[in-house]
Amino acid sequence: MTNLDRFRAAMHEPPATPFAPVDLARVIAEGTRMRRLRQARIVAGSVATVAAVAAAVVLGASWLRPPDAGPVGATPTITTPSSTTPSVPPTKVEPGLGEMIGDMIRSGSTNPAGELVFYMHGLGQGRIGIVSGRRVADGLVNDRYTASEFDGPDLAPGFHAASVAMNNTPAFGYYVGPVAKVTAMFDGKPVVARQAEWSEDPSVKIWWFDPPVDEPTNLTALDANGKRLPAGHPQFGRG
Amino acid sequence: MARGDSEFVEFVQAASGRLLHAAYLLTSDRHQAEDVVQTALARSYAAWSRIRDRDPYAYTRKTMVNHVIDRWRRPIREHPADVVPEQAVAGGQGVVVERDWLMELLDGLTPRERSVVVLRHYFDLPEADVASELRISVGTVKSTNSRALGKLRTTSTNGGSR
Repeated sequence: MTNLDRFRAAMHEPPATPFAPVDLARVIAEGTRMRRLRQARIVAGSVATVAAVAAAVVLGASWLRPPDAGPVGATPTITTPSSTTPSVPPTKVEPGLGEMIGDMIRSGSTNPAGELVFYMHGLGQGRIGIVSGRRVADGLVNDRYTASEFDGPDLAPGFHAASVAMNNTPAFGYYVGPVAKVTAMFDGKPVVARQAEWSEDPSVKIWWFDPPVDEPTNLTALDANGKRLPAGHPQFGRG
Repeated sequence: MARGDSEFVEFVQAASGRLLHAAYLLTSDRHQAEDVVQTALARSYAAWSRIRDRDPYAYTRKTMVNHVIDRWRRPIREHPADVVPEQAVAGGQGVVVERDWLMELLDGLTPRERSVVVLRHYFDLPEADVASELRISVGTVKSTNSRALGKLRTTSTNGGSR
């Protein structure tokens, strides 16, 4: 028997103890939730969404910053970049129509403001945006920062919604395509972003840079072979 | 129960054993394996109306493998050891020892090597299908598989062979 034969035979050996049976009720419940959220993305948006689009057009700005507080993924309240942040107690994360789409991505990176998290949310009329925030112990998400594509489809290949770091928000954005590595230049040196797949669409990768990388340049996407991928909109915006 | 749900339940009953086994080969962790299969099946259920008449098994397998790869890329993942420890061989426990030998070999591979090896030699997928599922080129599949098998030979020669 060759090593390869032995290797293949060992791979097909059944486990010593059986795996726990799949929890079908949980699978169906979770799958139903995913399906509803996907449908919610398709459903035409609310009045506030129209306001969001109108605000973006009128202001010529791509960076829409909602108030710090309020239900995560709730109908976005649009403020101009110069708006002040009202002090309202944060509320629980509860996905719903037009709200958070897919799973929340927990980075594992914490500071006194909480754990850095990201999620995608619906903007209505089939549009989506990305949110960065700080999750505290009881599941509340504070310091939320919202960005979205400013020119063209949200899911076109390339970079979208790239945003510089500020306060508790890192430099972050999302990329659509088979990206294996997101790189940039900072202080004259190459830096590599962390990234995570969006649960609703594996072609969407959320990326972010660890401090002190706050305003990187030359954002580049590389595939698994190191080949450069379409750039899309790699320009960084700011709120 | 709706007809689609009945079909899905049948699909889960038929496919989950093999998917769990593969997930364990990919992760070396039973709980992680159960978790990733659960997630992949939930995504398949969400897409069931689209995939039920195509190849739901391939869809779920692809979702599962890419989910595992994504977990590897996350900052809080555990990294497999670079060095494979020497294997103590005990008599009379052939299957157990063989499984330990296998898992140590797999733990010595990079995430991409491990994914390619499992898809190629556990699922018996052609190189083109492995390339498609991992979104890499066929040439990369060939070179990665060759490199992984080279490690297998080296490790076996150095201490794992009996």
